[in-house]
Amino acid sequence: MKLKLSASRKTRHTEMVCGVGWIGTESILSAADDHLFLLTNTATNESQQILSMQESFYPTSLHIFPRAQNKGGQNDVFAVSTSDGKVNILSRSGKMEKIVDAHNGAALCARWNSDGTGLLTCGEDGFVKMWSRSGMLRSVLAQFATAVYCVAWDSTSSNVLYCNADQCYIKSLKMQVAPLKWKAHDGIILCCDWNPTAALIVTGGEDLKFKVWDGFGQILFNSSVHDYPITSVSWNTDGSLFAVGSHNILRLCDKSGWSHSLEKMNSGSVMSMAWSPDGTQLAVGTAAGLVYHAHIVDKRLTYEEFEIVQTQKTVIEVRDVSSEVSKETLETKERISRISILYKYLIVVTSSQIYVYSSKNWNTPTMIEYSEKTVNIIVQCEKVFLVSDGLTITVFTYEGRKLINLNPPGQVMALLDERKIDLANDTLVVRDRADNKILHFFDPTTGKPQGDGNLKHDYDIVELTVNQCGPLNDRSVAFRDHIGAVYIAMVKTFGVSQRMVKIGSLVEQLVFNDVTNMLCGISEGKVAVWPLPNVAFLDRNLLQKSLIQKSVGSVGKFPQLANFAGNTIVIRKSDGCLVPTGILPFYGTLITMASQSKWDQAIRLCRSIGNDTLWATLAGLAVIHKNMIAMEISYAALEDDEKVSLINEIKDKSDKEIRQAMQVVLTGKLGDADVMLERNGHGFRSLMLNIQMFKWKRALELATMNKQWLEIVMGYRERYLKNCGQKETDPQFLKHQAEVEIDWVHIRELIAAERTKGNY
Amino acid sequence: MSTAADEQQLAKSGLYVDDFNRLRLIDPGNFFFKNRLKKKFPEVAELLQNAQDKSAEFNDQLKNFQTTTGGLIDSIEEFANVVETEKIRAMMVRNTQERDLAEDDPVLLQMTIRELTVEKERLRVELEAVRKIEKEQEECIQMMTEH
Repeated sequence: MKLKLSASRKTRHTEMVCGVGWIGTESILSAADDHLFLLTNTATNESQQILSMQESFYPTSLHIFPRAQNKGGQNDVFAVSTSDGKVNILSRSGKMEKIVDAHNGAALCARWNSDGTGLLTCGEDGFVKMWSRSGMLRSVLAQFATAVYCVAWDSTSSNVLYCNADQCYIKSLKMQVAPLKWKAHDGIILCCDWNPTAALIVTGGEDLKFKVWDGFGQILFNSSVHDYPITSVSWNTDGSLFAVGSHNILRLCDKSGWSHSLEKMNSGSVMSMAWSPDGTQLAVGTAAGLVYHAHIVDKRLTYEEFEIVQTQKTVIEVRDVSSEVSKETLETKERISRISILYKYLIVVTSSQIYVYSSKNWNTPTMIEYSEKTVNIIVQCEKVFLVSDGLTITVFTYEGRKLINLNPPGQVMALLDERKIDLANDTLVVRDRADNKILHFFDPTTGKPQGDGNLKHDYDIVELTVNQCGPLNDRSVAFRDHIGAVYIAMVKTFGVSQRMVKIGSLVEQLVFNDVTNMLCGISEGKVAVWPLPNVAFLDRNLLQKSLIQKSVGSVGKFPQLANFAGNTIVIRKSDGCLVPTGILPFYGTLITMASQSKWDQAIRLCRSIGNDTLWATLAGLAVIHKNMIAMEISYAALEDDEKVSLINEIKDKSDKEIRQAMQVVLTGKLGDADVMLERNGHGFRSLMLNIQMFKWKRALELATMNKQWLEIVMGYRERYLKNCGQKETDPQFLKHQAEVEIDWVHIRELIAAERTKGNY
Repeated sequence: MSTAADEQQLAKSGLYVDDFNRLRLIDPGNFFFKNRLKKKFPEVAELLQNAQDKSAEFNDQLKNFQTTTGGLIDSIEEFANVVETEKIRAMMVRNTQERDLAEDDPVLLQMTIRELTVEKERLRVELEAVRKIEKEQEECIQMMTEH
């Protein structure tokens, strides 16, 4: 991935360009020290002067009023801070809407928040001030002895970041607490920006470095030393990339800090930068007065045997690596903003259309008109795909039919990112935009709530993914909360008591496999794969035993799991390396065999490999599919004697209800089994089960309820206490102690009598 | 100056034009007239003859001068063209040199080297990972064929 630069040289600024911004996705507005505002059309690369200000007008920064909904942008207003301490709110037609005397000395930076309800400014006088949309002073956030060069809002507009000298400060607007403060650089901090979708901050300073921080001021990336100070930084609109400008160079970096490319220019320091609303184009204002227009090219995707490279603005090359000759060139009418490939379908989004190419036929794409909104997110599953601008979601079929248009619940302006939305054929999962603890499930074909509709967790959910295979009853969503615990939850829980179960902790970047329901994540330099995450609802031991862990060496602080297709996992390390790693292919094969009921083959496979994880996977599959024979063999291979004897016991039973209850016992849900037995009139069996499991209170309850077997309960209780070397203290048992006389011969007789009656 | 055709027309009507463009009743080129003139004013005739010769000579010289200067102008023009092309070529050379110089800027070169080293390292790690997969898969095949 790299940036391709072009500049209009016919009409240009004669002085330093201090502010740039986008009006729509095709024009760049720039303000410079020559008192002019130019509007550059990026398609034709021609500039025209739209405003000329008085001689004393020296801009220091420009920020366009954010309007995610409005694509045409005819009535745009923008804030310009100037060297005389004023902040000007201008409309595009040149009408001065408001002039505010904001600072003594120069006003250095002015930023709108994401919904445009607030404006943040800073200046040479060391003040950081917040203003309303109409330019009324709301509050003074900070005051320093020296100049504050940069300010930024966070993605939800509830925190602000400002930098003074070499320190960074984060102040919460919601809570009255002292700002979080840390030393970020060894020199004055000149520029900062906050990721629009996540708690990530990038700063650049006079110590010739740029750094990436998380929302708590912990460092995530520290760049190498450059030759000149870093003069500007800017996140793109979906928060996956940021650009860094210094003297004569422009860098394109991934959100984890490593750089995609380095562009050399010859026009002095980069004074200002702005990304276009679709996040693929960058406007760059330089000290020499040139306004560069950069767009991303050489975007590269791989899927199975296909390698897809966007070579030019409107051209994509598709190579099939399995055959040397096969190479396709796809051309679109307009500029390409986003591409995605999965399940043999390539989605290409341009300014006003979506092209859907099938890998079977590259020549005739399905075309969908889609010009209302920009596209920041594409999520594909086997039958449908969704596009989103981070605020609303639209679902299409691959044939090009629009299914639904959905506004995710929650009224906050913060944008969704790819880790907060996921899609399966029958379920669309999205995190609530206001309350981070809630997940919502929708049917992607109708837009109605799917399964249980939503799920409420105790902590904030930071990432989620949904499995792709099997019917709706198998559909489960895996998510990680902000304290690092990983859960799996059923989408549809009709008749199931347990809905959500914790499967691990400190595992990040959860991704489900594309062809089976295997789940994969990264934990501390290891790849963790759960071949059967759903088994967590049935047998937790098996979940742990079937966990595949594979070391991949050091992956750095910020690894990303790029994809998990087939048996290959691709990890993007913190330094940008794409590291593929494989798991044994047998797990996938085993799952497929089980779903086709080829148990003999599956058992044979396990026997020839003889690997405990594989046996555990088979056991899990057998439990899920309720295959007693495979279950017995695999539990035996795992040397789980108790389970084997229990299975043998189940096999002997002829009564269906008892068998069912015993199977429930097998999955460790004793309570359920107990209730089941009792309800079906197997009171004695239930009693004995509780005695065996030392659930004395429940046993006593059953005995008193049935008004018999009290002697048995008391006898076993006494023996248990004796073996433990303890005395009876429970008042309930003390009360009944006097009622019975413990005679072991009688107890055995009683049990034998029940057994002959077939009750035990 | 009248042309020969005009003079013939005039001669028909008995009129002539002399060397000074004055109208005459007698043909000035008439032999008898000349002789008579010579006899009558021998000095004048001689002077006239002399002047006639001189002017012819001057005319020749002038023509000569014209061809010489014409040649000179042509060659100078040719030279100018050569100079022009050379100038453009020199400018081109200078520009490329300036650009080369900019590219040879050690700072920029160092930067490019650094970027490429990082990229190379990335690709090396990737290659290593792919080789590892290959090895694992070979082991796997081995295992399956043994059984």
